[in-house]
Amino acid sequence: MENNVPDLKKITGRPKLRTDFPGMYCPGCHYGIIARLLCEVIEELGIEGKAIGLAGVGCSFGGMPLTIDVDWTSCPHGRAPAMATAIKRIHPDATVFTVQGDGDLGAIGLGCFMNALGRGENLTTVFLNNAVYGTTGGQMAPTTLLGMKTTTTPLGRELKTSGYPLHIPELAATMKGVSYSARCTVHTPANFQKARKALKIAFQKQLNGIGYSLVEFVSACPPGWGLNPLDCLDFISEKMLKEYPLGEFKNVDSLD
Amino acid sequence: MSDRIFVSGNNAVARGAIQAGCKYFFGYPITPQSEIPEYMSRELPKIGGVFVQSESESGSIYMVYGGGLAGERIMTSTSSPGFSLMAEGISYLAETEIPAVIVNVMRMGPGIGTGGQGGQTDYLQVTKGCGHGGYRAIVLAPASCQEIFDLMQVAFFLADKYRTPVLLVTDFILGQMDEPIELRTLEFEPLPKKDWALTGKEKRGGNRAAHIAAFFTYGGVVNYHMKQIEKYKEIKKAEVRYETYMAEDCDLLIVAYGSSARIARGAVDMGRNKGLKLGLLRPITLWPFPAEQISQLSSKVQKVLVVEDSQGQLIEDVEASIKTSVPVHLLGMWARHNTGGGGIIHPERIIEEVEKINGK
Amino acid sequence: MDYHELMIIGTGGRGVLLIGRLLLEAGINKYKHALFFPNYAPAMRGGESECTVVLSNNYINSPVMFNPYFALAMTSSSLQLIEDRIKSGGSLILDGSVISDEIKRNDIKTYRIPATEKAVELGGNQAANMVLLGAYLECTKAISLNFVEDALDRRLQEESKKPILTLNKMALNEGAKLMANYKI
Repeated sequence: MENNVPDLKKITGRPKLRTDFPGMYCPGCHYGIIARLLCEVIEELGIEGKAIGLAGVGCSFGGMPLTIDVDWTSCPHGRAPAMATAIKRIHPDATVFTVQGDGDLGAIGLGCFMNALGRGENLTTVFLNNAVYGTTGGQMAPTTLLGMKTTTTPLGRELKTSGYPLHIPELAATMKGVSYSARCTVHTPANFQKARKALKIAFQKQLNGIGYSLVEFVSACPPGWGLNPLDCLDFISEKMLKEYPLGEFKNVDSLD
Repeated sequence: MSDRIFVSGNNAVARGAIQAGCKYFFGYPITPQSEIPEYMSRELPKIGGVFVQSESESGSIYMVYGGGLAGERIMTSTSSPGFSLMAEGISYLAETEIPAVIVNVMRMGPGIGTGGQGGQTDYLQVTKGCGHGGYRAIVLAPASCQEIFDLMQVAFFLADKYRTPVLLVTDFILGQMDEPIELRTLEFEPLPKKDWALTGKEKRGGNRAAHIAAFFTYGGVVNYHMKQIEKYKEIKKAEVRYETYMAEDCDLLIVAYGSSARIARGAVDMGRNKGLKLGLLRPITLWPFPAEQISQLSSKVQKVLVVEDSQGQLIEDVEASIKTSVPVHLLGMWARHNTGGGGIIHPERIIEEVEKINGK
Repeated sequence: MDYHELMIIGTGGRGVLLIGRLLLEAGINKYKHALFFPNYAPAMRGGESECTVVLSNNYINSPVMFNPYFALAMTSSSLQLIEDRIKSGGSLILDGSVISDEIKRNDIKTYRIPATEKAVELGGNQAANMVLLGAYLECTKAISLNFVEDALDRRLQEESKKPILTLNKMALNEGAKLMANYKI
């Protein structure tokens, strides 16, 4: 039998930083994939010993800290950038990053986030945009697409009552304190690889001491969207990416 | 006597904090406490510390939360409206048992209040758990610049000892008045190492620190709360602080805290000169409240008078402490000499009230 | 005497709070306890401004007082706020250059010191407060003028402040002289 086994080469495996926690995300949710990506990038950069993560309210809150084996705290709604500010100022050698959803960062915490960018804090934010409030049951988020149905926009998001979707990386790119701002997805293997690169650059900016770095992940929320996991991938390609184009919006090696 | 320096109450807050080893201050300007962030912005960088002016009191309190999690002695200061904004964050500090010191230089009244004059109208807010969820925070109420300086050191010690937010309340009078203080360092018992602090896990031998919801840490909501209840009992038993003045043989006991207690002390002397047997009990900790001491003293007097520059808040705790039918009177903000702007309750007015009560 | 209480009242911007603080800074050399409380609540900058100073060898109780033993009034409108409140047997110093009001109280000692005139004569009306402070110290002997001069030296160290320092010291001493030669 042994002779019939082809010569196998291990090209990937379970990340060392992935805890034994079984995972808490819904089938088809991309947060688990992003958590894995975070594990891999932190390992590759060799910063697991000095990484401190701050998870926003929502699906990041317990899931990220329970999944990734570095120092963590969960944060009240939208306040992760303020908390991270103090942690980084006190421990300048640590690599401090926040993981925040669209409601957390884009709605209740937008002021807190923008002011941290304004101060040019040396932090990294992973912004998870799935266009709905997942944990609370699929309500409208600031990033909900026009016409998209949520439990608080039962007829679809209307412009005249609910305004426009929010573009966080584009907004961040206008801020002088920001060194890196990009949007990516993990909904195809190719995009997964691009996202890995973006995340790595973002952390590298912090390691180089250059301002604030941000990566948005457009990601799926099957229960929130009322779609099965595969249809979610199409929804991302056909709808989400129309509103939220992928790419880098800012990438500088020094601040003005 | 020249080894002493003159400082305002607000200045004493900042100096006391630095004396206690606080090197990190996160704050937002608001009258009448802005001298505190101003002093910190000037002095902290000189000692390798950090001052950050936040975007709001909400920003301040979460920077304080982050700083506390990072394991350092941290503080912020504000005045009433700002304190309301911070209340939410204080609830999180209490939940996750992160030590921090928050100073409230009180204004008068709800809403915007009045920044340029005295007031003690946040008593209920600070003592009853200002944010959601039913927690307790130790509340210190100094009455002189030296006591502010000393109690700031006590505040940091208690915060670390019990892993709790500690609130220190002053007001316009205490904040603005100048007194000489001795820059002394208080000695405290040794404290356990903050092995729970977020530093990056390499500094903890590879074992990570994770603060998710506090309920997880203690294995469920009930266990968590039983632990908190136990802690509050311990604090109540060990940390009640108060001061009495001429209270041993008094007929009428005045209960007052902060600047009002200082004014009431003046009234006690004035009254004694007139043959009125007045005494004073001044709670130094508003929580835990010196309920037992008030209960005991009140059983030996004919009358109790609560003096506070508010609508009547402290009186609720005084009445709840008293087990006998001794009458409890209140002299509140309506006793100010100027009913327009400004206005202060003077010791003379307290004597007037005592005579009125006695005449009844 | 080891106890002095003083209320200084005048228009904001005329140095009411400054002389209160100076008195305190100087007083620390002689007294165990001292207290300064500025009550500028009703109107800052241009409105009535007042402060209380207490120097004592015993613990100072109330930081505020309604009926001071001693008052120092710098304007007519502030005089009206304080005249009735001075303790019987107490004293009042007022700036006779700008206050012509008749004093109705006959149970207090009143000293009309032409502070503004004297200050102008010395080189600047902004030193009227120092003239009054000098008069107060001569009257009460609460502390020696030297201590106030030392406090002024500490506050006005820069070369550019030298003229103001000189003016203030002269005003302080002239105020004391006016009081020493004062006849009620």
